[in-house]
Amino acid sequence: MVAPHEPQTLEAAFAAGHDHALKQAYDTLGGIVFGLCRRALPAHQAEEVTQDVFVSAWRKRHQFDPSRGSLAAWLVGITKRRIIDHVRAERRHSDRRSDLASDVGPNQSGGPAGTEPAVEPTELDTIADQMVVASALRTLSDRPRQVIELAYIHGFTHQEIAERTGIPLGTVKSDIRRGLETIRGHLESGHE
Amino acid sequence: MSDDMTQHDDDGHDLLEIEEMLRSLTLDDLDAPSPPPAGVWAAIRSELVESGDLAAPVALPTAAPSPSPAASPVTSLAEHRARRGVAGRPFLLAAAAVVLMVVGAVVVVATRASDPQVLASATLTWDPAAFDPLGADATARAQLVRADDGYEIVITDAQLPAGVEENADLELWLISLDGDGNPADVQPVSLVDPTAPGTYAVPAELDPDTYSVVDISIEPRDGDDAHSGRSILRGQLSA
Repeated sequence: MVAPHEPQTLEAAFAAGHDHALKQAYDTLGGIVFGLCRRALPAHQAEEVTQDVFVSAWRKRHQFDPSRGSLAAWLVGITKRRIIDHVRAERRHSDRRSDLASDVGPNQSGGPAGTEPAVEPTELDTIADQMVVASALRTLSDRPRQVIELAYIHGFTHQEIAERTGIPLGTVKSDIRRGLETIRGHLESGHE
Repeated sequence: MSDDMTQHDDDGHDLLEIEEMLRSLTLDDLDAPSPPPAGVWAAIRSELVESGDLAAPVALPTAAPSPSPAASPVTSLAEHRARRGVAGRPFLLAAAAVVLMVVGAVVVVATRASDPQVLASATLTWDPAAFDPLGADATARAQLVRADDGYEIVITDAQLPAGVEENADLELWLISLDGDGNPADVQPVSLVDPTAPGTYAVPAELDPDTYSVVDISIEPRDGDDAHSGRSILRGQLSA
């Protein structure tokens, strides 16, 4: 069986249900999961959802197939769904509370302060993708990472990068191409 | 599953999209995100162990015990805590205690050399068998120092759970032990701000030679000023 991208040891271990893989996944990806939750939810709810994501991911780890995508993207997919569920539940809850509290409609400001999510589901997709891309970028080795940062975040041309860094132009181009392919591999969850 | 092998090309992102996403990143986005707050991992672990989804962690062979924590550099301290938390292995606890004592001794020597006011110090640790799970990732050290008119406890190197619970605070206590090493009396010292732990005056009536165990607990704001029984960290002051 040929995988579209090389399965990481962690991902294989996670799918196989090795206990240590859960902690390792948490140490490696807990920041992304929590960071995404935090963009949409107040702190204590973000902690709850983070807990929920890892608990449910572990319970359905047999659904994760390392040959089809990255663990990061799979976990982020679960996280997005959990956040949306959570926000909806909170809204229903706060709508009821608002109805009880007064006749003023709950939607005049989109919801009561404190429970109001910072982002909408579509924004969540964008933020989630950005976080996975940034995390994938961090996994690249120094040279391709530096080249990609210069090209896309600082906006230098390939030629300028070659001049600034002394890396041959051909290498700059191939680093970028390979780096983008690697990042694409990280973005695929293959389970949606 | 092999039927889906081509799915990457069908529903995948093309490289132009990846480029677009990269361009939308700021320098701040490149920093690794902060890990979840202390306590989240312990909650995940205990929920999964309780439901039987996670086996009692990493059983060590009884015939041939694994190396002590000090000899296993690849395993994090947190992992050791988690393992001890569920397995409750006395020999590991003992080994860890020895390590902590050694560390404690080094700390005492080091701090004494640099700060003559430090009379004793303690590494505060979480006891998985008896303490509140919210303390699973907490760490701190305590020093007993001489003040102008008595003694003070200085909490240093602290990582304390902040905002773990609504309507609750952290509180610092001093505990005296009976002849068997069991708590004889518990006296409050001060509330502790988890984000800025500092220096706390020891009540004048307490003799730190007797009240030599430092404890930090979670105290619900329930009007009951006795110790809640929910300790997160504790350690024995020693010179």
